[in-house]
Amino acid sequence: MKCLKKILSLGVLSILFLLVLWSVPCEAKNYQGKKILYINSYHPGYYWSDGEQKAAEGFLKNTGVQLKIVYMDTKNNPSAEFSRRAGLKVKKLIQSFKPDVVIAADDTALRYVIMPYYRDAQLPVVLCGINWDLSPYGAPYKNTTGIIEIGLVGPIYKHLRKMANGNRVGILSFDSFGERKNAGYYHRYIDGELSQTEFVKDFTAWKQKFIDMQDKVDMLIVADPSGIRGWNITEAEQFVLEHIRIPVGTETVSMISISLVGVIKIPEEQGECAAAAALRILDGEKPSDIPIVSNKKGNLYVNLRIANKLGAIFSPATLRSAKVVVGGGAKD
Amino acid sequence: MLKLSIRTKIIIAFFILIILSVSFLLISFPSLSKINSLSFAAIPLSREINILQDYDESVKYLANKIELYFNIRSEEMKGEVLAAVKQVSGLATQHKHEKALSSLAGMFSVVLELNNAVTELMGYMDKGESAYTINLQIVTVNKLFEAFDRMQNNLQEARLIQLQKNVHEQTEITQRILDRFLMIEIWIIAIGFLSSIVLSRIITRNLLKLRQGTQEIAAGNFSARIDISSNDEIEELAQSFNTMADHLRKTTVSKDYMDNVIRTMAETLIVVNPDLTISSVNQATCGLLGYSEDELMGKPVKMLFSTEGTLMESAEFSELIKDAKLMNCEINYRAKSGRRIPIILSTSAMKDKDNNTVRIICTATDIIERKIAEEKLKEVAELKSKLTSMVSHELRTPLAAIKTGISIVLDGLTGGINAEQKEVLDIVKTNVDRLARLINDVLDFHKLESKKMQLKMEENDIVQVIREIYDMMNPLAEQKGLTFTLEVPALLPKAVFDKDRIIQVLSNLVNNALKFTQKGSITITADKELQGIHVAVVDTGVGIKQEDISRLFHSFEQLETPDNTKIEGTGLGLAICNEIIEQHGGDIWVESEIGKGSTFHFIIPFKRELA
Repeated sequence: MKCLKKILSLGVLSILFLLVLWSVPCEAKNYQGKKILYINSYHPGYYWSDGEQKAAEGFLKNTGVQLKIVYMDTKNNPSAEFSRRAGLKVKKLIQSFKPDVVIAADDTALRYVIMPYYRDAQLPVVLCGINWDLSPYGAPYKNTTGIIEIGLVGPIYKHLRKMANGNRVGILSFDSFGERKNAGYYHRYIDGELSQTEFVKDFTAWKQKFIDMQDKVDMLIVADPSGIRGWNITEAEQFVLEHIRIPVGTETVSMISISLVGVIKIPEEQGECAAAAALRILDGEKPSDIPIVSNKKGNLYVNLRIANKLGAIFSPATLRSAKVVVGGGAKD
Repeated sequence: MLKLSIRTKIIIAFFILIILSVSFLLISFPSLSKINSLSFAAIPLSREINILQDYDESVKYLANKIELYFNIRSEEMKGEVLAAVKQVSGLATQHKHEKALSSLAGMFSVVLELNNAVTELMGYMDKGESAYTINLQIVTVNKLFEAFDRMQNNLQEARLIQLQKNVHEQTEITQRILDRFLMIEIWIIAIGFLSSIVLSRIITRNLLKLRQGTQEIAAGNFSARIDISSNDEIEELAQSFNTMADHLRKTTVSKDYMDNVIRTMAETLIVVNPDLTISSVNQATCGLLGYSEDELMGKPVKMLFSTEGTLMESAEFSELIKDAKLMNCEINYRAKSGRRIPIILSTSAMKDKDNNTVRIICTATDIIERKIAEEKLKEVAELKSKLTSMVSHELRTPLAAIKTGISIVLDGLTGGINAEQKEVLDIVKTNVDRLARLINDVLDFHKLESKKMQLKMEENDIVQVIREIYDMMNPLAEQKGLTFTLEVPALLPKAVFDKDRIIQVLSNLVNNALKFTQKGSITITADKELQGIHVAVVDTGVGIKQEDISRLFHSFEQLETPDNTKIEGTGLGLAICNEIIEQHGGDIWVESEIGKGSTFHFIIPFKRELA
């Protein structure tokens, strides 16, 4: 029986090998002569937009597509006037470059180029990394498709739920228009009960809310601390280590050191998805026929020091897929 | 040039092909051995791949159990984890010391290390170690799982690559063998092709000569000969052909001769097919019947014959021809003009080896001249008969007057005559009686021969007839000093016969016996036999020469005695006896020995149905 099994295995392997030998390599599609304009809302060096852009460039490499990048630099120049002028420049570039498809990365490109100049136009547009929702821009248009960028609070909730005693979720965030807007979308993606949301303006308030909320919710999601007056990460780490009682999660890299679990979005997912949609349009599909999707991938981080404080033991599978943070900042 | 038979040439070509095939095998043998060794080398590789797959499955099973344990955290799951550890550990410990698997020793170590780490982790869980320690241990276990995966993947990939290389090498060697095989095949085909061309040219050339020879023979050139010296079967065939041509030349001359004979023979000859159509005829037939040969070919043979005036029916005649059973049959040809020509026809059948009739040969002789002669003879015979009858009758009347006149004179009714006159008149009377008997015999014979004599067939007693003869002839015998006796049974069955004619026969035979017997005896015997009454007249006379016996019963045959003495008589007596007995349906014959006597036998059937 063993001998037969070996002979069969050898036979199967031989057949597989021959199939590999004889298989004809698939010829990559060639988009020679096709042009794509990639509108980067920010500037080179910004890790998020760099990630999106490099992923798109990598995806389109060796396809024959002529790819042109244009930067709007609106991170360094956040005024609306600058953004409008930058949008106009991009419009002129589009007119001269005559791209077959435009990839508009992040909200500024949509708001200052596509919405004013190419809304329902002939030019196909792939939107990339638009936060949460297209409706504030009157999108989607007839000529647009793409990927929207959402916070991965859903997966965070699922990880925290394993360690938590209930399903009540609390949000602790900086009190700003953007964070309030973000928080407004959380309920869509959390399966549990979003029972308390707190916005603070300074570190003291943050610490107080951190202690208070642990009595009212079963798990806590902490948002980006940028803008919180007096924010001190080292002090925050020490504070959390002393006072943490419930699982804490975050979608911000800077908060992993004070969280049990972090699920961090991957900008490359956005870039690749947008580039793939652009090629489908070049293949002849209408943008309106390509469904708009949202990001799903994220890097999982677990903080063993926090886990130790909470007595939380992760499953091997979680730890295997996670980037383990023993203590302090995030690292592999 | 070496001359070889076709068979030898073919055998040589066959051996060349065999040598090429064997050469191919010899050339390919090292490659085949290499394939064999590669195949053997693949076996341990395959085993290692199988073991790697087994470990992969076992370790994944372990990982799955650990994962379940950390999700469920039950004692049962813990037991399953430890059981999985034990299973993997036992397997690794066993394989680690197996020399054949030394290349997998690193993996076995990792597996054992993994097992230890898992065991340690489970121990931490039991001891309630800190979450940090446990999580770190889980990380360690995960790293060992990853290390195992990498190592297992690397090893499996390496084995697969090695196996692929092995297969690739085998494929290359197989391809080389196939190339060589193709090359040998090309050579075999080329040699076979060339051999077939050469052989076929040799054979065809000689066959063309043979064909030319046969065509010449067919055209009648029997002196044609084939000159082939290929020293093979075709040369033998050519020699046989030449021998056959020699025989043909000889036999064909005889055939011409026979054709000439048939063509010029006086008898007509018709060759008939089994379906009774004419196959061929000779010139005599065409000449006699007035047809050309073409007019007769394929026509029914029946058109040439007429059964009219014969005793044969037309259908019967056809059957007899078909069965080739006619022999000297008198029938008529029907000529083209409609004239009937009498012929004597004989048929014979030409049979094949299976005794089936393939032809019927009809030969016929024209007998028209003979028929004419027969008619003439018949006319002459009738004329003779009329003449004889007329002469006899015309002679008898004056002879009766002469005899009466002589008797009147001798009786003295016309006055007395002296002794001298009486002597002369006695001589005249004797000769007149003799002449009268002669005329009576001639008339009797004529009547018998021409079947004009009517026999008075009645039931009579032969014994009585014999006694009458005895009474009549005994005085003459006594006068001559002979003993005349009868050896006749007192009673014999009656037979149907003409009494007067049988008396005539018996008196003739007894008279002859008296005539040719000078001393001794004459005996008449009679007896009953199967076919009738057997009567014999036995004498002790001079006897008859054997050469004369056959002529004895012919008319007008006057035999001489053994001492060459001429006997008086008409020579018709025995001929008349013969005719009378034959007309009774009996038989008459003689037995005789010179000097000892003769015995004349005849048989009268008991009952004779007259036509």
